[in-house]
Amino acid sequence: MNLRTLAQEMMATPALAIVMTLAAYMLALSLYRLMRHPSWAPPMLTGSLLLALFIAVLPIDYDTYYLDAHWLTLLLGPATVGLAIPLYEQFQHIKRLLIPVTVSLVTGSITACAATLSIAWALGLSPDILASLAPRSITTPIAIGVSEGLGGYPGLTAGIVTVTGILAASTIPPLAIMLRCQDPRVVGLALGLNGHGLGTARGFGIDAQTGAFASLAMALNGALSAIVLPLLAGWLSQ
Amino acid sequence: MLKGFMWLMIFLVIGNLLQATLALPVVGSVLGMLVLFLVLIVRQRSSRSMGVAASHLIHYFTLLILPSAAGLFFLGTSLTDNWLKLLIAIVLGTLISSVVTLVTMQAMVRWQQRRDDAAGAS
Repeated sequence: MNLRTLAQEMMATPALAIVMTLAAYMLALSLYRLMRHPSWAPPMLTGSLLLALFIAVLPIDYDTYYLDAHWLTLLLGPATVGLAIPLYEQFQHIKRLLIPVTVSLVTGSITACAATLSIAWALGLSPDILASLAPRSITTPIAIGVSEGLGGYPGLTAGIVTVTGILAASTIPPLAIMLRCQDPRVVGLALGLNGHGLGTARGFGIDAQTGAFASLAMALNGALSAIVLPLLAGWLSQ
Repeated sequence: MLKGFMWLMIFLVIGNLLQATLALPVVGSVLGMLVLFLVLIVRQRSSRSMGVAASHLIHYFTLLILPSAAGLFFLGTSLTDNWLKLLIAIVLGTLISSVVTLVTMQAMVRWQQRRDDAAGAS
């Protein structure tokens, strides 16, 4: 058997795509542990870089790879539905601070989207890129779903969401000191709303209350944006 | 685990059906999540079986997203010409919304504190 038929043999089943994805994921996790959990290099970033490298080196193109990887991406569906469980559990905790959380959540959520989109629009970016940018600060699985629904690129959205998370996680704690609002509930809400999972991880690094408010804000912002963004987009395109 | 997984899939099917019949610009999985969230609110109780299945799946979110995330590096010219503008929008947008969220929540927490104090004093 020569090298070319061997390569074709490898490509005939989705197994190679699955192995590549698992390898990139586990390598990224090891790197993350080895570098002692750097907030600027989450496994999502290193993992997608490694995976892109594998795709570039191996005799497989991205479109074929993505079709084969469907075995994995299919599970994103039930996983996203499952986010309702932590969302419901977080929802139980806000009763006492219902008004402050609701007002801040709505204000922050609208600002996160409106500020970015108006800057991007002023810079002359195209509608498909704007659609990929709109769900920037919500948790990746929901963001990908919203972006797809609006006609954006899921890959671009995943990248934008990761960059946003890194930025928010690293700038919000110093911003909070500058603005003299170091109440853990305030910092937590800002971290979760603007930095989704990466901001929440940073919040738990500060203390438990900051982390709890961050995951609350992440969950509620995800649900709120999933309803509001498509409505807003439909209204704007009319 | 399997029972919870089956229920999550059922809500996914409901979400997909809703998406198809109402032609909404949101994918079925997000709609399924919202429907399940409403169901939990109405019955005022979380679900053990779905909780177990969900926490397993959520644990591997990064792995499940990697195939889409790697797409960032294969987008071609539509992105490479615009990456600087995109970065400016992301950085400025994040800074603005972070400041707005911090200031709003701080003001609201103080407002609630005063309201609670007033309620306690009367």
